[in-house]
Amino acid sequence: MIDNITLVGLLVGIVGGRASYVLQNLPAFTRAPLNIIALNPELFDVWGGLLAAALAVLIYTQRKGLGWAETFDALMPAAAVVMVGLGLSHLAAGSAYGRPTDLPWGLNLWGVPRHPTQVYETLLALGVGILIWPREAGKLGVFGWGVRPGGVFWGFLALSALARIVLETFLAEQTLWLGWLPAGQVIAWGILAVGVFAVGRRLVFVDEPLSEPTGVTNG
Amino acid sequence: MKITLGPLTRKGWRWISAVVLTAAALWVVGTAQFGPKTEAAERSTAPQEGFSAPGFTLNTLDQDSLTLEDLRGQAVILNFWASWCPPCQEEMPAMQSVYETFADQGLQIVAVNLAFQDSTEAAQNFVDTLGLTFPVVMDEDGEVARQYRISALPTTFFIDADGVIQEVVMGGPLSDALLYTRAESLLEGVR
Repeated sequence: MIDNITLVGLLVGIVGGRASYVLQNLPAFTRAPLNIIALNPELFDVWGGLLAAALAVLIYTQRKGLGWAETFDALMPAAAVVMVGLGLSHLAAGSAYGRPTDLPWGLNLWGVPRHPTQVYETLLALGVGILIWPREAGKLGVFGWGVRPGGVFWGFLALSALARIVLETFLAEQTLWLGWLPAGQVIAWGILAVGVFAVGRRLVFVDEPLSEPTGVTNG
Repeated sequence: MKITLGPLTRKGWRWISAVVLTAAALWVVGTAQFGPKTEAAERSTAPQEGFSAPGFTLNTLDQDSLTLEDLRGQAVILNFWASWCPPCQEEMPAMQSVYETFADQGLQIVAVNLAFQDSTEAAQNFVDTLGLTFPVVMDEDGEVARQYRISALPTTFFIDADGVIQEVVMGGPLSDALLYTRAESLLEGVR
C-alpha cells in the first residue's frame, strides 16, 4: 500500500509540477505548445508539484479508507532517507555551498575553503532520521514517548526545521528580509513552531488520560 | 539507541517547547545580527550559480574579438557546443529563435565552440546551415572550457546583467520554452 501511495504521489507530483510551471509561464508555451512535454527537468515548479502530490496522496488515502496521519507516519522513514540523499547530492554537485571559513575542516570549493555545508546537511538529516526512526508502535522514535497517529510526521517536520535553522547559518547564499533577517531561517522557525504545537497535541502524557486530542479526528 | 527522558508530563512538554522555540529564535536573530555577512558582498569568480562568470576574450568565427566582461549590462546566455554534438544541433534553432525575440531588449547569446575538439570548417558549416546570427566564438586551446569546468556538451550558463551566473544547465537539448522563460527572467534585471 505504501508503494502505491508513493507511486501516486510521485506521478501526480511530476505532472502537477510541470502543469503549474506551464500555467505560470503561458507565453513561453503558447509559442511552442509541444514544449509542455519537453524533457527539461528545469521546466518544473517544485511547490506546485509538492502541493499536487500531497493532494493526490490525501485523496488516494481517503478513497482507500486510510487515515492520512497513519499514512504520513509510515512515509516518514522514506522521507528521512530522501533528506540524507539530498545532502549527498548537494555534496556531489558542489551546490548549497557554505561560507568561506578558516576552520580545519573547511572544504576547498569554488576557489576558497568553505564550511562543508553539504556534509552538515547530510549529518543533520541522518541525525533527524535516527531520532525519528520508528522503534516501537505508538512511540515517538528514540524518545520513546507515547504518541498518537500523525505525531511521527509532525515530529519529523519539527526536527527537520530545527536542522534547517542550524544549516542556514553556514550557507553562503541566503535571501534576507529587511536586509538582515535570513528568510530561510524565519520560515523554518515558523514550521518548527507549528510542528512543536502539533506534536504536543499528539503526545500521550503520563498525567493525562489516553484519548484523542480535542478537535483532532484524523491526524 | 534509546534516550531515556523519563515520563513526559504536559508541563514538561511545555517547558521543552518553550526552550526549543526560544533557543531557535535567539539563534536566528543572533547569527543574523552578529554572524558573517552573506557572500553576495564578497562575490568571487567561479563557473557556479551565484558567482561572477569567469571572464574571457575569444575570437569569433569572423575573426572579431569578443570579451565577456564587455557584455555587462546585458543578459547573457553562454552556450558551450560542438558541431558533432547531437543535442547541440537540436537546441540551436531554439537559441536562434529566442535571440531574435529578445535581442532588442538586451539579451545576448554567446556560443562558445570547443574548437580544440572541432574544426573551423565544421563549425562554420553548422552556423551557416542553421542561420545563426548571434556571436560564435572559438575556444581554440580549450582554456575557456577548462575555466568553466565543462564536462558535458551542451552546457549553458545564464548570466544576469551584473555578470552573475543565475543558473547552469548541463546537457540538452534545451527547449524553446526553457530558454524563453530564463531569458524573460534575466531581462527583468535589464529593463
